[in-house]
Amino acid sequence: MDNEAVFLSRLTGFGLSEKEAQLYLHLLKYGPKTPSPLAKSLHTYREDVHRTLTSLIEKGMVRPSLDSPTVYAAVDLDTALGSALQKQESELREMETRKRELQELSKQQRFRPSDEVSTFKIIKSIKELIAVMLPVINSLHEDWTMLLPAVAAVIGAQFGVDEAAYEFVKRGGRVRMMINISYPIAKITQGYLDNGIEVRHFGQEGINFTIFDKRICISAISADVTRISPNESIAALWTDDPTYARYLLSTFETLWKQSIPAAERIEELIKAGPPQAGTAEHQRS
Amino acid sequence: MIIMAKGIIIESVKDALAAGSNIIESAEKEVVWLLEPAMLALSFQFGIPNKSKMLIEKGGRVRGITKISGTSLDVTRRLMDNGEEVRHIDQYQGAFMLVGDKKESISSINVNMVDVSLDDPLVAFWTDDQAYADFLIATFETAWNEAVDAEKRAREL
Repeated sequence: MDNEAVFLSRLTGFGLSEKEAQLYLHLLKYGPKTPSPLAKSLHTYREDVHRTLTSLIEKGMVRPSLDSPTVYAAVDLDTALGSALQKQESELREMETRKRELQELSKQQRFRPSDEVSTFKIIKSIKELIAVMLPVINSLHEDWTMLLPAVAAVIGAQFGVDEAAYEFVKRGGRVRMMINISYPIAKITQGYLDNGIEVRHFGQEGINFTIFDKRICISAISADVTRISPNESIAALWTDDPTYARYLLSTFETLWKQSIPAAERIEELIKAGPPQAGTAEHQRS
Repeated sequence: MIIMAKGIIIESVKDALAAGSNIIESAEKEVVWLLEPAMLALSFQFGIPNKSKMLIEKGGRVRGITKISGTSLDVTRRLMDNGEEVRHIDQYQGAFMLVGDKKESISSINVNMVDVSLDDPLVAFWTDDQAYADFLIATFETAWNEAVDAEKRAREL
């Protein structure tokens, strides 16, 4: 590592970002500059340089001139590091004060019980998703609505979600599902219909959500599941926020009207037969 | 006083744009957006790009993803001239979103939003919930990494 790299590394160790360290070193080495030549020398955009300069000014490491055009100069190293240290110390003191205030407040307040508070949390794997879903399905009272990608049909069959849904229908529950029905899942979809699930075909992937009893929701945007295994990564959102549930339900009802009855779609697919090798439909399957 | 995260349903394109405008106005550091070209074009009627420009001038960062085509190239260029970092994505099916300072957000599941006008109905969700913003940002970052730099796309066109 050369001297310059060591210097940059020490600066980042002192709390500067890599860009801030590079820009500060550049000003130290080459003297005061306006943003344009800085952007050129550092191979970046002017906006980026502006952002970094603003941050360095806040840290007391760069000083702008008062005349126009504004020229930026590096503050000498001792003074600059002293300022940065002071700023961090001041922030630390501020945080200590806030912490004490919060501790005091929490003693005085009666917080609302957790079951009254809406929560949003991220689900990160198929295993976690199934673990969260199954108990909810088993305790459903009225209805379950969902808009799912085709791959969900396979996951549902493999992990016992379908069985739980059929049980819910037997208990008198209503299950409505929109799914992108393609040839490979036509048989699974027919199984849903045979077991009392209302299914419609929605030919767009990338939007996925499910709502349990108009309250608990799980949603994902552009979920890209490439391998169906419990440890496969996903990014889904779980919430019991009633407003969010109303938002998703309203979206569901709009899309439901635009979708096609599953029986109609299955008939079309069976008539057309299996997708031919090399076609887009075949690649998707 | 305990401040709870809030959620509100927004029911028209006009209200969604107004909410988006407020998010940008109150942002201090960063705004990210993923929008259909039709919504971008409408955003000019609300002066939203000017608000982004002001944020950038104050040292903030604005990043956005849209589908850049011959018809939306002009709009995209105007945003880039303001200092917004823009990328192109060919096909995006999911939600449109706008997130300010990794906290306040508006998002909606958009389907077939080609011809859209201010008075069209729409169902969108506004919230200042941090976890929801994290979820949207994770989705945005994935799309950002897959998207193409707008300049490169412009050259292709």
